[in-house]
Amino acid sequence: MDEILRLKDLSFRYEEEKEWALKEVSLSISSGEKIAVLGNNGAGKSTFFRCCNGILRPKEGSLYLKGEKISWKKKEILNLRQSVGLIFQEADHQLIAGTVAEEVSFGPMNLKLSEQEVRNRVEKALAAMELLKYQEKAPHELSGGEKKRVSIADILAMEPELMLLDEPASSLDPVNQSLLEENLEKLHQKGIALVVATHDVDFAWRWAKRILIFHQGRLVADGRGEEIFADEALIEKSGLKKPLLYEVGKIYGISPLPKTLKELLPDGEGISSGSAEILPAPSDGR
Amino acid sequence: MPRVLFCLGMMVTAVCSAHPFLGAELSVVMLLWARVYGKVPVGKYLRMFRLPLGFLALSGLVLLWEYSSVGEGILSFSFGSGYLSMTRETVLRTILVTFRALGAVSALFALGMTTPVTELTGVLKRLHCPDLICSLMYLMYRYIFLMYQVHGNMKQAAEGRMGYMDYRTSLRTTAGIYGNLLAYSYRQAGANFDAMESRCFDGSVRFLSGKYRKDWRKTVIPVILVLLEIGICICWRSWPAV
Repeated sequence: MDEILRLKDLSFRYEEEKEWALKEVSLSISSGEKIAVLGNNGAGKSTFFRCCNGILRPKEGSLYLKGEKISWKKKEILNLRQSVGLIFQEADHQLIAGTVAEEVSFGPMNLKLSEQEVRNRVEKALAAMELLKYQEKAPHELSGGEKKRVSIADILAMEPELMLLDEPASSLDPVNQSLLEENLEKLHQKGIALVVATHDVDFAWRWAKRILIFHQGRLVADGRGEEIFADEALIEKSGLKKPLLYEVGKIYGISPLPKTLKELLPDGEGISSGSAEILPAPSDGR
Repeated sequence: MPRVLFCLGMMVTAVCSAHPFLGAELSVVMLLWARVYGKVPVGKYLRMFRLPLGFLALSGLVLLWEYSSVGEGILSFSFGSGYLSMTRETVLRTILVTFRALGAVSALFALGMTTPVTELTGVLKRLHCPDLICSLMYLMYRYIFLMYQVHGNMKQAAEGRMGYMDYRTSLRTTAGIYGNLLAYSYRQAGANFDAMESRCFDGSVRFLSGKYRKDWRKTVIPVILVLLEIGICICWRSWPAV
C-alpha cells in the first residue's frame, strides 16, 4: 500500500491555551486503509483532523504528503487539502450554497477545473451519494442524513485519496447510520483511505481494520481492534467500553472474534429464542 | 442575464413614469411574471411584499406634509414656529412618487424572488464587480437566513420556558437571545470559514452556475413587456399639476 500521509512528532496548541491539544503524534496512513479514531471528548480527534487537512498549522513536528514534507507554501496547502478531504461533524458548518449541486461544485470550482470537468465531478459525486434528485433543492431543507450525504459528496467531488470523517454518525437515526456505513463501503471500494472519528466502539470494531486512540492530545494506541480491546488498562484510561460482539466472542471463546452478527451466527439464523443453542458453551464456565 | 436586464428595464421605466397608473400596472405585471416564469406562489409573493409595502406607506405619509410659515391647503396645523400643511400639490406628488416607487420596488422584488442569489452575483461578476463585494454579498445573504432560523429556534425555546410571560421578562429574554445570537454567529462564521478553507477556498466564493435551456420565450416576452411599458410611459405623460 502506498503511503498518503505521515505525521512526525506533530504537536498543536491553540492560541492562549497552556495545554497541548495534540502532542507528539506520529503515524502513517496508506491508501485503502479503514481507520477508526476513538477517544473521549476533548481528546484531540478534531484537532488531529484539522492538522491533517492543513486548516491548523502544527506548532511542532512535520507532515508529509506522499513522502513530500509540507513546508506550508500556498500551493502545498491546496494540494494537501485536495488530497486529504475533511468532512465536518456538523454538516451545517459545511453547507453554504443555495442548491445541492452548487454546494458540491464549491470544492472543484476552487481547484480551478474546467466547467465541464466540474460538471462531471458534481454529477458523479451526486450519483455516488444518491443525491441526483435533490440537486436543485436547498441543502438546508434536507434531513440530517441527506445533509450528511451532501457533505460527503462535497469532498468526494474533489477526488481525495484520503477522507477524514469527524463523527459522521452523530445525530443520525439508525436507518441513516446504516446508510452511512454502506456509503463508507462504497468509498472504500473506490480505493479511498478512510479515517473516521467515532464514539461508537461497536462500529469501530465491526468496520475498522486499524484503530487509533487519543487521550489528552496524545496518540496512546495504534493497532488492530483485537490488540486495542484486549488492553484493559488502555480501555479504562481512555474512558472507552469494549464492543458487545468482542465481549460475546471472548465469553464464548470464539476464534476469530466475531465482528458482525453474521460471523457470530454463520448459518444466518438471526437472533431468536433458539439462537443460544448454536453458540458454544461459555469458555469461562458461566 | 436577460432576466436581470428585464427587471432593470422595468425599474427604470417605473422611475421615469409621469403617471401613477404605470407604477400600479407594473406592480401587477411583475406579480404575474413572478407567478408564470418564477413559479412563485401568489400568496407567498404578497405575504413577503407586505414589508416593502409598509415602508412605502410610511414614506408616503411623510411626503404628504410640507413645512411652511403659513397655514394653507387641505389640512394644516401649527408645529413649532410654522405650520405642517397638506396641500393638493403634496397629495398629487405623494401619489406619483409612491406609485413610481411601487413599480420600481416590484421590479426589484420580482427579480429577488425569481433569481437565485448565485445567478445575481454571477451577473455582477460578469459586469466586473469586484470579487470581494460579490462574495461578501453572497455570504451575507446566506447568513440572513441562517440567523433567522436560529433566532426562530431560540425564540421557541424561550417561549416554551415562559420567556415572554410579561413585559419585563420579554425584554430580558430578547436581550439574552440577541446576545446569544451574536456569540452563535461568531462561532458559526469561524466554523464555516474552516469548512470553506478545507475545500481550498481562496477568498472568492464560486459555484457552478445552473444549466439553462435556451428558451426564446424567456428573452422575447421580457423585451415585448419592456417595450409595452415604455409605450404606456409615453402615452400617459400628463398628471395634473406635477
